[in-house]
Amino acid sequence: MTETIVSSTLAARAETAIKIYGHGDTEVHALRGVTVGFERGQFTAIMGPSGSGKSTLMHCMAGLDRLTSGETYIGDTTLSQLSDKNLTLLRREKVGFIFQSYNLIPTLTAKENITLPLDLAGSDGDQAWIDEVITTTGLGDRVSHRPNELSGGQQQRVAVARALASRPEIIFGDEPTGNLDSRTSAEILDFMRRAVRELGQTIVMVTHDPVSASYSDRVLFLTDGQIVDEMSNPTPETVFDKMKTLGD
Amino acid sequence: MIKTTLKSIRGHLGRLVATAAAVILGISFLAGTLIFTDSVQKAFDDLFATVFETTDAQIRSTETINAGFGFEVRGRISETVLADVRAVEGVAAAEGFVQGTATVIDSQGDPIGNPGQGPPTFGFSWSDDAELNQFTISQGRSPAGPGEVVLDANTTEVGGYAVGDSVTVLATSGSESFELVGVAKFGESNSLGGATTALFELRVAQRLMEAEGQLDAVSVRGEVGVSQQALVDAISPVLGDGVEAITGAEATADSQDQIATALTFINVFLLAFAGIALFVSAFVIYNTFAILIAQRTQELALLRAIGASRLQVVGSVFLEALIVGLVGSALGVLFGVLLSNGLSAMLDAFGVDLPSGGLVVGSSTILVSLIVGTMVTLVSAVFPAVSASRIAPLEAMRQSAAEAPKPSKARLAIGAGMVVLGGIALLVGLLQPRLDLAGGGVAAMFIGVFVLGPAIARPVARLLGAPIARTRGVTGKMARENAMRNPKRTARTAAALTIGVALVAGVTVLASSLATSIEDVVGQQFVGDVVIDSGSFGPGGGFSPDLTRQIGELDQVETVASLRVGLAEINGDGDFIVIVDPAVVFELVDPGLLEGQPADLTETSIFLLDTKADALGVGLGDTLSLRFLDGVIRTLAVAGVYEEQAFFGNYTISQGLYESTGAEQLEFVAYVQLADGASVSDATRAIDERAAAYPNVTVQDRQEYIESQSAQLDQMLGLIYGLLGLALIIAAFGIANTLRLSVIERTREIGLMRAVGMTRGQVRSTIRWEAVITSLFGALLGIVLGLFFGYAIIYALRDQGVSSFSVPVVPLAVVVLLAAVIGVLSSLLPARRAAKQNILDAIG
Ligand SMILES: Nc1ncnc2c1ncn2[C@@H]1O[C@H](COP(=O)(O)OP(=O)(O)O)[C@@H](O)[C@H]1O
Ligand SMILES: [Mg+2]
Repeated sequence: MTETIVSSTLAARAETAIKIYGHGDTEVHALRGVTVGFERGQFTAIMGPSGSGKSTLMHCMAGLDRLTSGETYIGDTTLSQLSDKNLTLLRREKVGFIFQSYNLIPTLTAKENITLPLDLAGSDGDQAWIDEVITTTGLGDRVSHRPNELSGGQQQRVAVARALASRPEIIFGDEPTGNLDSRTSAEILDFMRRAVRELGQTIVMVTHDPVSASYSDRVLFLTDGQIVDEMSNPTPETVFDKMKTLGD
Repeated sequence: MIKTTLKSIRGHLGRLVATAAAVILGISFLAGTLIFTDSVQKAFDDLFATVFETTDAQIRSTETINAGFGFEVRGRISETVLADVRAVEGVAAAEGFVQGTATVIDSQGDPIGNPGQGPPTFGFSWSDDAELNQFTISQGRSPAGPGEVVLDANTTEVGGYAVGDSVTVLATSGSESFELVGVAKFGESNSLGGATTALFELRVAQRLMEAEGQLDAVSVRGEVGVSQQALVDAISPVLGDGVEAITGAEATADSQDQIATALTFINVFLLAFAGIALFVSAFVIYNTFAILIAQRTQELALLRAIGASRLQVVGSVFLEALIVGLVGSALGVLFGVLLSNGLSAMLDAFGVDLPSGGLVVGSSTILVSLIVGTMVTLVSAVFPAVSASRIAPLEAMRQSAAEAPKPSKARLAIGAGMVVLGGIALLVGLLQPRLDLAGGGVAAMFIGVFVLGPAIARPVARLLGAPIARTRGVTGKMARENAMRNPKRTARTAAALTIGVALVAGVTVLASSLATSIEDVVGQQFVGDVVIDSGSFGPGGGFSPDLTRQIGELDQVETVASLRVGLAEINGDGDFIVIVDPAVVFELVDPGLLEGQPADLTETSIFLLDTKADALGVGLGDTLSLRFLDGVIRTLAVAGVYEEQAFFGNYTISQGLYESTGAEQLEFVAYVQLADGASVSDATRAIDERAAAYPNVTVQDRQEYIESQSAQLDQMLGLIYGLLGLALIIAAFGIANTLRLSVIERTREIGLMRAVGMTRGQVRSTIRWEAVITSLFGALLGIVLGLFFGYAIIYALRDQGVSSFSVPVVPLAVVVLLAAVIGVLSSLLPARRAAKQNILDAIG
């Protein structure tokens, strides 16, 4: 009984996720048994010092990399059992991913970049939804421009819109505002929060910045490959205080 | 700087391998050609050195006629000379020889060898003087009387014969059966350099070669202590006019020179293809260096920023090119050894059989290959290197290598200008004719297209990619965008293919137009019903006039007219002449007489082709002096001028005249007009029966004959395609190379695509279609150029009976398809690499 409840309310989860890079002397334990679930319609922030395993967790949960042991799920799907091909299809249909930089294909227009996952699947998608997503980016007729004609903030908004386009189960962002100034950053975070609140999306985002984290519903703290703490309804101050205690 | 260069080479090793591959391919063909011709020359040299090893002096006629391409015939001398020579002091032995054509028919009834194209088919007289006769009996005994023959060991085996068997031999006098009484070896080898040899007793040989009372040569052995020169000096006084004595060494050198001349033709032909291969390679090498340097612009700029001079930057690229060029050329020589074996196999497959000995890799071959390969590489690298050094350091560090600046209007103007000027040079060069101008025109057009390419690559790729983008979804669209994003690169990559395709298309158009013209001309000028064809044009091949006589006696046959081919010196220049029977030939073929009447061709007159008449400045009433092998100079009246070369060649004389010169009389073709009411099949059967004794002839009806005339082009075409194939292979390497470099450049992009859901198959498909678009771009440019080349040549030949310009649509479509296939094949490895890339590594 519990399991069905779990899988129906969780967009993605990890169970005792362990990731070890390298062998023998060069072994690095990036994840040391992480168990975590992300509820549908929630905006989660993941924080932690550099090298604590945040990117590794994002990659393994999004199907970009495989765990050494443990399991990750997107909805009901068990990732470890998927072939490369099915993993690719899963990324295309069920997962959105926003990188820190270089998110767009230079030869495609902003609009083509947004619909890329759908185009790769050869499907038209939900046209009304795509129009809504494009409208929310506020790019107007700039959507027919190529990335090199857009500002950094605009490019990142396109990246978020692309992650939304296929109405995925969940969107992962690895420091999506890491390269942006604070004003542009605020714009993107606001956009992401509206995607969760108004469009009902699920977003998990890695960040270093307490202010950024405060846009989320819940903050997870990762240290040395383990989740050490969490916090709901964060504000910049509470997050900052928590970081200080963890840093000690 | 040297250290940095070496580091950089190590860093870019994979990328340089492909550059080296282009050098290797280009040079291996050059080296292969040189090795091949050296080896063949050496095999012949050795052969003749052995032939004349124990001959101290040779006596022969001074009468020779040389028609070029190694076609030389020498007159005969009277056998009475033999007794005179034997009486000379210092002569230990003298033996007379006759030589001619004798085709051996194998036990299945087919002729062995074809004197027109394959190895020679010799008939020799046998000498019992073991030192003057290089043949030794290895089985049975020597030929002693009429009805006896000895064959070389190879021919015996190929023919499926054993001592005691009955062997049919076709000689000038006709077809005859002999008993095989022995098997001979030539020195240690089983044959005389691949030729077939039939040996007869001297009297028999004289009869078969129609040389009664005559000899081709006398070989003389001197007494011990008499030098070759002293022997020649002693013999010379007893010789009559028109007979000379030369030393054994001179005889060797003479024969070797003659072969060398014949080989020059093959050599030049092959070297032309080596040149094409190098030209195409140069484009690939240039392109690779251009991309490598573009990708390293920032690295080079950093070097400049920290104080390296422009010269040092250029120098470092130069050093890299030097190493790649040297290593590539050295490997090219190694591959050349393999290729030279391939070349003989290929020529063999096309009926050109040459003797084989050991491979000769001369130091000049190695030197020439290394120098040419290194020079081509250096020249190809110099332009990108200089332009890289020109970029200001800071600008370079900002600039991204992936996106190229837009091509300028000047480029369009210069490129188009070169294409037009090159085209004019080609036309003028062909019309003059001046081959250097024409060749320069072709090169200028290629370079013009190369300059022009980047300006047109974008729109053309957009157009070519449109159907792919529409049908292949996002992968097709990405492929098109990628082909368009760096037009310079796309155009350069396609350039190598453009050259290959242009040459293939040009040759195809030319061949198709020639074939149509030949069929038209033959169809119009030939009115007979049946043709007996020996398939070998030129002296030494053909069938006996006896067969023609027999066919003439058949009830079904109304008229039969034959053509013979001989050599003569006309006003001092050797050339082929066609010999006809004026009484009948004009009933069967129409040479397009412009002046004179058929009846005007007599034993004291000559007809000639209109263009020859113009060139010599002669017309009706003028005279030409002809020298045949009998040494007599005959003054012949020009009695007719014709316009069609197809049957009558350049010069035509009567059979009566030619027979009076004592030359070997062989028909190479005979045309038959059937009697009223005779059926073609019936007559063909009757003629076949008579011709059964001449397995080297084919009997064809009118239509078959007309078609077979153009079919001869196909053989040549096959050889040329085979050699041009190399250019296409090099082009494929170029495409693979560029794609590989582009894939490296787009690593992050591909990683990102994979992250958002592009499957490996889709990655491969994107790269594959990009290659197809690039190839099609190159192929279409090539087709356009090729059509122009073909048209220019046909236009230049319009006075020579080449009347029609025909564009063979299907073969050209096949060429385009082939180009697409080349694109797909060359994309395989780069695509695989791209698809296998780890996503996170690619993005990181
Ligand atoms: N591909 C890899 N190979 C080896 N070690 C790696 C690799 N990727 C990450 N690591 C190591 O794993 C640990 C966690 O890295 P990461 O997940 O990138 O941390 P974060 O994103 O929190 O900075 C670090 O010690 C890092 O050096
Ligand atoms: Mg990280």
